Amino acid sequence: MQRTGASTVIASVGDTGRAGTVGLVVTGLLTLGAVATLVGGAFITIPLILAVFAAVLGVFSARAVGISRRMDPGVLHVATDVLLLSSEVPATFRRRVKRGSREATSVTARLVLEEFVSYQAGTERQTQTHEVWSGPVPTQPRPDPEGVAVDVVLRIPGYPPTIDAPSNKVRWFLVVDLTMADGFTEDSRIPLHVAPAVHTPRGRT
Amino acid sequence: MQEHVRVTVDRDTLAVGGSLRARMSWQHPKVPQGVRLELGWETEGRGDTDRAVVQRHAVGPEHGQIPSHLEAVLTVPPDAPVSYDGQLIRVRWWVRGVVDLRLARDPVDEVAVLVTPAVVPG
Repeated sequence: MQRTGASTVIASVGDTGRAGTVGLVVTGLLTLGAVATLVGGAFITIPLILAVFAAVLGVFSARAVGISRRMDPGVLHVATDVLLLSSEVPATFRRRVKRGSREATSVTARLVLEEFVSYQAGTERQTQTHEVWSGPVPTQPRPDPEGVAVDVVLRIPGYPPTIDAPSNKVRWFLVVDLTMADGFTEDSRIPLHVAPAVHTPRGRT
Repeated sequence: MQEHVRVTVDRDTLAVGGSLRARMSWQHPKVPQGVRLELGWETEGRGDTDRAVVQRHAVGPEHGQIPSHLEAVLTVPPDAPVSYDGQLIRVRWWVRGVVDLRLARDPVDEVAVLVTPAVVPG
């Protein structure tokens, strides 16, 4: 999260393309392993398994890299860095398009509440996520010569606030799905920190 | 002499940033090393347990004779997690009184409290 003048800018998570680059490197290593085991005379099953893993990982990684080359990560410009329960907060979502069509045929947004836990199972660290609630957020397109921009009003429900313990988290996200004129689709997940405080309009208690 | 520890609180619901008054009384045949009142929370459910003691009021031998009654005002920090009962996660708050015995099981009493979000006038 970054403060600029009167507004706070919150970046989306998971669409920087870094995971895709790492995935492509691992894909290359798996492919080399498949070739090496095949040439080395191993039983056909081992290079076949490596090749299938490499193909699946390669497809996902290439898409992640393609997204990062086409668009910057989505950002949310919001007037306050403290979101309160039961509050309405105007905000603007922007995503800069670096190449390809800048025209979006569909932009939909929703507010999502999810639980996230992590736990040790044997020698491995496991995680589990459960979407508790999700509600639509109306979007109002606004002109942006660099890409896609929409105004939204975040209507934060009355409970619960964000909980951020090491292994147990209750998280809020704004999820924005984009469909571009050339058929390219992509989503952004913007993490929102909702404080443990309820906004009460003046005159009401 | 029978052993007992008892904790009482003046309220069982409070908002983050709020305080409660806790009282503890104890009785034990052994002389304890100290007694303490703690306010804390812990998670239950699918994930590994997270827990924290957010405030502790302790009396030890450096204060002279250990009193048989202890009283403290305990405050929930403004950024603490609220009580929560979800699908994968439960956050449970408590006030705990502990009699700290040397080389023996520490007698404990615990009272559950509910921590809610604060109210901010617009």
